[in-house]
Amino acid sequence: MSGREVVVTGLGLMSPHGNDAATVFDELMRGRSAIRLFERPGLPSAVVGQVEFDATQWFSRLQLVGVDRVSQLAVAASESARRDAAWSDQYASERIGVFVGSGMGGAATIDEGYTALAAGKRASPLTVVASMVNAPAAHVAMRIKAHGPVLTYSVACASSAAAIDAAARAVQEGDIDIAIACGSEALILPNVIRAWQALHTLASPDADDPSASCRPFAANRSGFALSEGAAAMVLESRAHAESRGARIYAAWAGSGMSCDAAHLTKPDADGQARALRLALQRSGLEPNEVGYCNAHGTATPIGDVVECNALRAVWGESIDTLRVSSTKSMHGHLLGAAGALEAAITVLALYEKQIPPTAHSHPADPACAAPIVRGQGVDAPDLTAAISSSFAFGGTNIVLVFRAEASR
Amino acid sequence: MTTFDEVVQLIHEKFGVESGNLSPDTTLTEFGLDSLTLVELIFAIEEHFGVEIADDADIESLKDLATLIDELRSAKKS
Repeated sequence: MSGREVVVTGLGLMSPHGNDAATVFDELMRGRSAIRLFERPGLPSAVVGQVEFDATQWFSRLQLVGVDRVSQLAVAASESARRDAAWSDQYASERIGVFVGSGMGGAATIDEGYTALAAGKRASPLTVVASMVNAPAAHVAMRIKAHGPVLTYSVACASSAAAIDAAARAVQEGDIDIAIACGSEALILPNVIRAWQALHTLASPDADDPSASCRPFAANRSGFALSEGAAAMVLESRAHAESRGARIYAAWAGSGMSCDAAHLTKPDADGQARALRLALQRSGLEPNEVGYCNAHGTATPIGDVVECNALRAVWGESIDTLRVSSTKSMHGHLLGAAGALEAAITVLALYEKQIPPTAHSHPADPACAAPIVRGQGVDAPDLTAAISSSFAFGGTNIVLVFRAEASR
Repeated sequence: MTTFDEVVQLIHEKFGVESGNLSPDTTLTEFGLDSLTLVELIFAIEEHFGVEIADDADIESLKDLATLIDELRSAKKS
């Protein structure tokens, strides 16, 4: 790895499990799901993850005009991450970058606009600026006064993994001194859920316990729960973090990217394996040095098998040194924000030396042949490196690698 | 309720601006509207009063806005 070493010094979450990173991680370690039943007239029952969010804690009513929920969540998560990093005004504003991933952008605004038009009414004049996919990044930039690169990545489920990679590279190259990398998604709307139901990728609600509906790597899995939320991390050079005495959660060690270039939705083990190999190579790590994989793990019948096959192909005989979990079983699939939330969880796993589990993953599917952590989290005192995988519709695969600090 | 009072109520409901801070002489930019929120306010006014305000309408203050609304409404009736 060349260039400056990049470390994570702040985390901010607006997640289905809440907004405090330590509490969220504790809930995950206990295997507690935040997925709930979602019912609306005319909509087949669904399970979703929603964020309890009071926008007026972050914006005045006037500031909220023309600001979609996706941007509100992004600003709240980014501002939380900045506070967590104890980031003072010592950075020149043109040396600050904002990198945001989002799949759909302002889904609620688009929905309202079409609903108004269908009813013969006019759409709000702010429909375009509220719904554009780069609105969250722009609002974060205005909030923190970032005058450097402010960019948006829309790569479906890998959007915010792409944002983190870009942010880390910009710091590594010395283009900027500090970055906010954020993912945000806010599409828990009946029309959007219907569209996903039509694609047959969503989990069937469990009649007895809706919170247990998403079952990655289990024989009876049926898909994922759509979720909303935002997650942000502050990335800066190690030299600067140390000079200001910042708490360092973990270091970004590298990333691997590939595209299946085969099918829009069907995952491909070869494509995923290429991203995994590149990630290890760029991080200078051997497979047996990586102790945890926060899997993409969407609990679709095909996806989980393909992912396990890709891990086996790369890890080979070292597969038993790896522990794998899909925390989507508990927080759902945040789509464009999934990469950022799961990267934050991966960073917390390294910081806490604990590996969160896959919930509701029994009975195990023997076709998912990887060492899956199921039920409850486990202590991992020797954990030194971990990966977070994001495999997107469209075929883009992104694997982020983080290293633990030598001592805390 | 006068048109001015209705405008003040609308601004309070939509933007959370305290009614006590709004007088007939308050200018549209004085209580924090930028060019985008101003467009949204005009849209809300048009929807609420059933009028159409021209892009080049000469509106400085809330009093001007209320007067214009009254003119447009009476023109519509006649």
